[in-house]
Amino acid sequence: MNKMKNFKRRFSLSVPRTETIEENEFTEQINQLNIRCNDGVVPNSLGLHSLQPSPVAPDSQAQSPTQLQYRNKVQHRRFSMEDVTKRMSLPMDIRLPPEFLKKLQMESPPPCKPLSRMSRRASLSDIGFGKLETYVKLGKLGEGTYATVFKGRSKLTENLVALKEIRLEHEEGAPCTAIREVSLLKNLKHANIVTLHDIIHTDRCLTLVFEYLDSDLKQYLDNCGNLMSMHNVKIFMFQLLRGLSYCHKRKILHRDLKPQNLLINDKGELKLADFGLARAKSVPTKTYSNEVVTLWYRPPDVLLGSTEYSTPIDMWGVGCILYEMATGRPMFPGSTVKEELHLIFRLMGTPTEESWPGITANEEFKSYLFPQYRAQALINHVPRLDTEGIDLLTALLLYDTKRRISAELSLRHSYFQTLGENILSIPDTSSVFSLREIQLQKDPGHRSSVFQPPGRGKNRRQSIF
Amino acid sequence: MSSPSPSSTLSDSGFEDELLCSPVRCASDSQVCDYEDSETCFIIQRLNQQQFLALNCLSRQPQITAEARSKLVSWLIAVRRQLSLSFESCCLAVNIMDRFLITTSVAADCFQLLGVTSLLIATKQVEVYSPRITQLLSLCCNSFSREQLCNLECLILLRLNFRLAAPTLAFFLDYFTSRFTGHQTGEFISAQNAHLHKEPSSAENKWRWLACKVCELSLADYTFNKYMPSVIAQCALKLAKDLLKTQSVQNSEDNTGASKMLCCEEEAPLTCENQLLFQQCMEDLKLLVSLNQEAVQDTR
Repeated sequence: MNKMKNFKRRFSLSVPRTETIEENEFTEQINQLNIRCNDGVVPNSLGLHSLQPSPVAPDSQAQSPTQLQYRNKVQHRRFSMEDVTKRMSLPMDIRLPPEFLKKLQMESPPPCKPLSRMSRRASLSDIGFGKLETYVKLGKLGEGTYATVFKGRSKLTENLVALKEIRLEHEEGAPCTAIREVSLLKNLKHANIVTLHDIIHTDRCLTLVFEYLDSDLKQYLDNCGNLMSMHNVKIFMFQLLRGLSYCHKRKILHRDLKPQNLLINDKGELKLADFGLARAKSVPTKTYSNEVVTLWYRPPDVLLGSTEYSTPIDMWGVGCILYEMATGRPMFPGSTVKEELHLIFRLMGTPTEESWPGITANEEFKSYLFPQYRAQALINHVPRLDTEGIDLLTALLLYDTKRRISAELSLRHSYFQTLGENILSIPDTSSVFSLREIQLQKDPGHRSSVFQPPGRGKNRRQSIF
Repeated sequence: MSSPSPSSTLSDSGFEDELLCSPVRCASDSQVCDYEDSETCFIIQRLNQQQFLALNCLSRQPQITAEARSKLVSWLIAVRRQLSLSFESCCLAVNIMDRFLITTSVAADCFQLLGVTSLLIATKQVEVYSPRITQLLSLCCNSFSREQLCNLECLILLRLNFRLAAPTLAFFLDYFTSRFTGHQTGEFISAQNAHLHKEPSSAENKWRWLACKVCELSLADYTFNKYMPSVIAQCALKLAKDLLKTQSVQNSEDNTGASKMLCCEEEAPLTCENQLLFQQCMEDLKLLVSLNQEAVQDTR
């Protein structure tokens, strides 16, 4: 009993309210940063002399993203750190370079008006944003086809970051995964979605600066011997659905949900990451690729070739993840499309016109000649999940995409009733742990303290790719 | 558990005032679900389009004229056909190009490179597959190098701050036609949903084709740079309907199909300001079509 008290107390201390408030302010302000693009971006090696366009400052149309008004105090000609950070909407804990402050003091007091977009970008560049020298590499986390990821530290905030270096030597130019990740992610500001802090361009590569989280769900499961507390399963599920609901409301499909892409920090905050396969659902009749979502988490409609999907594509993956957290093993670990479908049908039952309207007209489905399996009772496969959890899992794994439960409705499912009602009304940028009643428990199978996940060398995050 | 009724969901969203009247043909539950999804996209896109408007993008260009832009955009429209790209890619490419022109002055001999590079970026954002760079360069008679194109690609992305999710003319055109005809069509109809779709009538196909033609013309004409994509799309559809009415009088054989299709419900009442904007856009489109008769007369 005393041990449990100490455990809870440590968790409480790790998420003090004041710290959370500051963190949220930090996150919000960081998200307002812009990129300074210097003329030097264009390399001298360009054969065409004319391809050196000069920037045109649209002063008349530019507006500061914030409505912050700077009021000059006549009594104090020296600018305080607080004044500068407030005016530029910077995080409070930032350490401004001395040269920048000197330069500021030498200038006459600026007129009382919001900063134009261009001058704000210029100031951000003077501080160090958009520059590689601002960040220190601490070690390599993983490597993939297009990018290498390093753990790093920001000299401005002393916070840890993840530096994703995307190589630009590819013969087809910037990878579409990078373009989509940035264009979609920079508009998403949510406590359960990883934050993109900065973008840096050099001749050789494009570096994306993300907030750093030291673990992911797969690693978390490994660390606790694949035996999670069912209370923690519920808290992680809620956070996953919360971030996903935010995306889906903006018609952004993640399309690669899997444990490796769900990052977790030492407070137990879970965040959606890796939006390289993400897609904005736009034109209603648009067709999409059917080669998305890692095989084990790919829904049967996409496995059968559907290219007209929407938000339900992600919900099937959520169901598979819930199963995996509750049992400690993947739900449908197939190695081919056919095997994947076979594993699904053997457990959930071969689809019929009743469970999947239109399936008997699906040529792809008919060509496989699947045996007629009857659905098995899920409770026998997920004994640790309660009745409400089984009900939610069933709703997530419906064949008919129109009846598959949505992220928003999932958040209100009775499975989450024990978390209380307050969790449904906290702001988007607030962590669920800002509520005193939300606390992680010790996982039954955990081998070491959650606060100090064991380091596994440079390739610990290889699973990112 | 049963799914909530669409009206209660929409009430929760707080977008109630923005909603248009429900289409008459939405009867079955599945169609209601499709409709709700489509409606949410529309609301988001309509709210977003203001910040992506590239107003007067040529005002600071010393060497790029409206005529040069018209030539380049017309060429891009031909390129997208040759490469079998979607109209959405084409619209997004033009938006990217226009917004870049606001930030940077471009020499005349680089303008074509800007066009194909914008198209490349657009396809990377919205297509399943992108054309090869060598393919794009050959369309420019290899006047530019791969290095130049790749460097410009990075420059464009950074200047626009990676803001690529522009609501396009193609989106609104597709949304409005889908809503009016009460069902969705596309190049691909999956077997899974086959029984939910009926074949569009030839009159509907003509209407879509003609409206798309009008939109293509507006894309290349700098006059329409000041209008929102949703306004242009609605005016183009109305104009296409009027033109087909005129044709249907001349061709009595098509009367049945044409008149049935043309009895679509009208738009929700417009505010005074919107009404003026619509009228102005409508007049501009009429003039544009009258100056390009051969384009809209083509048979597919």
